Amino acid sequence: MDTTKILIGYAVYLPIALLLTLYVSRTLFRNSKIYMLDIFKGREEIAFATNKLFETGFYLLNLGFALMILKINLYNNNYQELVEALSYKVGSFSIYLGLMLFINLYFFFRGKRKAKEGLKPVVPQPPRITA
Amino acid sequence: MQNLNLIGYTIFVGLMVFIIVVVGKICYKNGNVFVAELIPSQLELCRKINKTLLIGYYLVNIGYCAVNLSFWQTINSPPMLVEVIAMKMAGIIIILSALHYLNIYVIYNLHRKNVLL
Repeated sequence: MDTTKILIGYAVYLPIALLLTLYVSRTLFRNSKIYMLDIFKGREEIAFATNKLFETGFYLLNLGFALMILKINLYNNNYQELVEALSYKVGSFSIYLGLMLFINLYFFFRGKRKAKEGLKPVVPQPPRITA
Repeated sequence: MQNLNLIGYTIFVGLMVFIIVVVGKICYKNGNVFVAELIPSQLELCRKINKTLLIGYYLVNIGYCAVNLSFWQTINSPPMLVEVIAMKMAGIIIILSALHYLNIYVIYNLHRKNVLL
């Protein structure tokens, strides 16, 4: 059986997935530094270290997922099927990436809120007067 | 029938060792800040602890990759080579990322406790 079409599919899919991951995580983590500074109350060293660690985790998770869904099956072995299979893969991968982006954003917002709660001074309660 | 297992093993081990070493370097460099915060009075000790953690990480991960090689099926065509390498790498990379996020969580909690106390 001729298998070159499947190989062409892989050669198209892999660069697209890698570049998409690279682009999304660069955008996300260039802009997340400001949140990290807020969460760690302006301590640059620890904020940037955490940012870098999250970035690494994001790369690992998404590359792992991209490789996991790589396998393409073509029943009739023609180009129409190849294009359909590729668009299905790339589309589902970009939807997954979008979801991951929003989950990360949620974490940043949550961290910011928690940091703000931690900063709030404890308001002394007025003594309750009982009859 | 051709057998492409050996080529697969070479590519797989090369890529995995590269990824593991790069991730380990990044974690070591950025983890120094966190470990230094746990015992602020002894920076030298903290660096040594971090280095030991790095070595342990290398041993566990590269060892797991090596063990993984013995579970491969026979590969007999180029597309299958790509698929099998991708699947195996995906498994290990996802395990790595799970460990990584767990580490961030634990370290962040330790850090918060340290700051609050």
